[in-house]
Amino acid sequence: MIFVQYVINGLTIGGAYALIGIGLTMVFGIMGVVNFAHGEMYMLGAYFLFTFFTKMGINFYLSMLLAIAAVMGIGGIYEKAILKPLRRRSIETVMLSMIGFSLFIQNIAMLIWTPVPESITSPFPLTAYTLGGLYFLPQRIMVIFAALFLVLLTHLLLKKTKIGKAMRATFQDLEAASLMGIKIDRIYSFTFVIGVGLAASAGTLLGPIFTVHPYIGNLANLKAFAIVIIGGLGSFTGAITAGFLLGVFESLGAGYVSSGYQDAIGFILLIIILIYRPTGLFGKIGQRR
Amino acid sequence: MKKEILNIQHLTVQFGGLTAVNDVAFSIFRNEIVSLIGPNGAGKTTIFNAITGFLKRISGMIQFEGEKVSHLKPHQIAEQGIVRTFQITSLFPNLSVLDNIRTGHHMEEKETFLDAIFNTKRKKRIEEETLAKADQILKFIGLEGKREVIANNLPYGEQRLLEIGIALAARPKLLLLDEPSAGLNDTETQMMKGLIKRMRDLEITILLVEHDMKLVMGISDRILVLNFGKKIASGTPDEIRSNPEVIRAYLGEKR
Amino acid sequence: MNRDRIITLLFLLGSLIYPILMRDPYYMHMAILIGIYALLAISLNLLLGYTGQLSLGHAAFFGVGAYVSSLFYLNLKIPVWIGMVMALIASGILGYIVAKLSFKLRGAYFVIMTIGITEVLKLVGLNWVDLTKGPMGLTDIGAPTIHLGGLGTLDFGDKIPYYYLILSLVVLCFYLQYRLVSSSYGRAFISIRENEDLAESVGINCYKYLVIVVMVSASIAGVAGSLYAHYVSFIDPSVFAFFISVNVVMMVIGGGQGTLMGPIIGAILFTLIPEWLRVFGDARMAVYAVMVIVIVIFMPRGILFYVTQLLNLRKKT
Repeated sequence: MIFVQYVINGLTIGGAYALIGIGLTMVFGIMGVVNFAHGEMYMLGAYFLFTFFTKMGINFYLSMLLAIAAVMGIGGIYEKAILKPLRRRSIETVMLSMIGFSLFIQNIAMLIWTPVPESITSPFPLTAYTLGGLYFLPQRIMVIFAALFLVLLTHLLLKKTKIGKAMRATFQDLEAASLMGIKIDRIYSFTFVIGVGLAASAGTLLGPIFTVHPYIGNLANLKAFAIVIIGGLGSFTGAITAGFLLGVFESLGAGYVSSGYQDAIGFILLIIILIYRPTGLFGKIGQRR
Repeated sequence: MKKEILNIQHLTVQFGGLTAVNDVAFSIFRNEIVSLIGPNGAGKTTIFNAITGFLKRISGMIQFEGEKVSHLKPHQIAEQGIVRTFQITSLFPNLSVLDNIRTGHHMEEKETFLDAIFNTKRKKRIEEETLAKADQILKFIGLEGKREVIANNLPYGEQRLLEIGIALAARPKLLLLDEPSAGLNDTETQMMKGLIKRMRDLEITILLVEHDMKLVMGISDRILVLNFGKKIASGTPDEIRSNPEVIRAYLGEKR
Repeated sequence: MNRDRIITLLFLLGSLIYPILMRDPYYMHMAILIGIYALLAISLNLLLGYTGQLSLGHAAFFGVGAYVSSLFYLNLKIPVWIGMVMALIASGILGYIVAKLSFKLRGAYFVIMTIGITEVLKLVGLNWVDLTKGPMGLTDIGAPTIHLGGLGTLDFGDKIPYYYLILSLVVLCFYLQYRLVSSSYGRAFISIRENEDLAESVGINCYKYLVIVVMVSASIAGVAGSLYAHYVSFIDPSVFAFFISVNVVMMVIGGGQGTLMGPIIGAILFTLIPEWLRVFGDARMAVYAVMVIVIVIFMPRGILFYVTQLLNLRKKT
């Protein structure tokens, strides 16, 4: 029974992980950018929710939307001002600049919000519902529903809209897409803003569950990369699967083994995948040695 | 008596659902110059990649000097004596011309870790030998005046010559040249033709992929024709020139 | 005797007489830290500068070296020297493991792998409390001593002897780097950076050389970790901090990657810069982050290269 409880808890966190993962895999897959600052967008999402909801008293759901919008705005500027000029540079240069930016954003956040950890009190009742011996915290139920909703929304965006089609075309073959008249610049900006928005949404969802401080982006970042690689670069399904899997494994690990090593589980899974199947669970296996 | 140096049987290469090379078989004999021709996408470079160990999954058999080499890694293929050049200019861009060639000579430099650290007499001797060999090659390809020039700064034609120099430094028995005349003007192509002939004089067997028909007809002992991954013809330049299937495959091709 | 050799010898001379000129303990302290970082920078330079593989996990080797050395000293009461050798071996083995795990990985994948490994080690350091005392860390890590029979004991617990100990190791590693780079090993390393496929096609077993370079690099970093532990006499899992990995990368890039003196110059610059940035108070790391961005984007060939370019331009006008 407790096993099921762990799984359910894991699924809620996994839902948020899936959101971060989808955002990063989209950016990775469509733009070819290794965005080390992705975790910082998660962190900013949580902090903006804190500012709007806890500090300014705005309605919870509205605060969430505002937080996501704020981060998307920042992401949009970031893409135009920084990522675009770096497009021609080597991958090492891009990675290191992204790391520099994530350090910068972390420390600006620290200056604005102070390094003292904050908590966002969930607007939902803090007592859990029980059903068949299992406990369901309202905030966590909201997380899982919101995550599934956003995943569905993103899926519909990619599969059913015109811009989604353009995004998929760009992912498959950049040259062909641009030859067919797709405005690559606009697709890149749009993709990045959506990706960042998903990370921020995960931040708003998990913000009330964990404490908020300027360095939560670090771990979110590394887990996001683990999820993206485990799932397979650019694979939407992969990111979702890996996200939920990681959430569940972490929960089981924390419950049965020890909670201290919980964060190591993602890395261990990552290392295993990198050894045996570097293209990820859903990635394509290449022919080149 | 013509001795077989390379033997390919039932070579098939698939990329996902696409069959790039379809049950291809051929032999190359010592000291021959053989050209592999065919329209774009016919599978020529794929065959090169298969022979030189750059592909993970191939089926069929590749034999070099009687030894099965199908499963070897690229550096092991080079150790056997098969060296290739690449379709796109492939150099060590930030190194000098001399260092490019010295690097190609790596297999011959039997330095140990201790030799390197203690700068032993052996190491010094190996260094001298490598330098002498490199200068020899520079003269052979005509770049002795450009010894210290950074490879990236060479004009295109000389870069292609340097590529061949690097391959020669690896002391190939069989040399695979991938479109050696690509992007070269007529004068440069003539020089390349001369260079290939002089390499054959050095007892190197040569297999080349080429699109320049004048070069192919002028230099080859035999020609293999590929289309859609299948071998459609093989023979002397005269035989190929008049082969109806070949003509049909090439309808619309330049040169 | 060309210009580069003269500069190198001047640096050596300067380093030898430094403690005589600078008696202030603070300056000696900085010099020792610079020396430790110089070892790290040289080790990463082999991997990043010459072989062209970016690693953001050098703190892993540094930290393992620090912990192994300290644990041998504290638990087995053996001389510090043996602990240092153990640190070298342990990091070397870790390097071998990393190389084996990463043999197909290049670029972003390798970077993520190195970051992941460092994080796992940090978590082990925090959670394996029985061994590492967790966040409390290990204390009373003594300095090395040499017993010289009748002449007494040479105690490296003081700054000046420790400085010369580190200096001799830096000189040794510098020489090792120089020898490796001017050998066929060096040319193989560089060929991996320049064009891996071409290198393979002329018989260079890139995987083998990557393993060699990672192991050598890791071992030197492990020794640096050990020297650090026995100097500050206290370590905790912060030896695995991401900042260390980033700062060492900045040393290699800022000092001029793929050059012999680059790591030395980089070590001097990037040991001192975080100190100088203290004037910015809380905004210190934000300014550091901006420096990282500026150097990586605008000065990828090292600060000195662009400074001399600027000076040459001035001369012409």
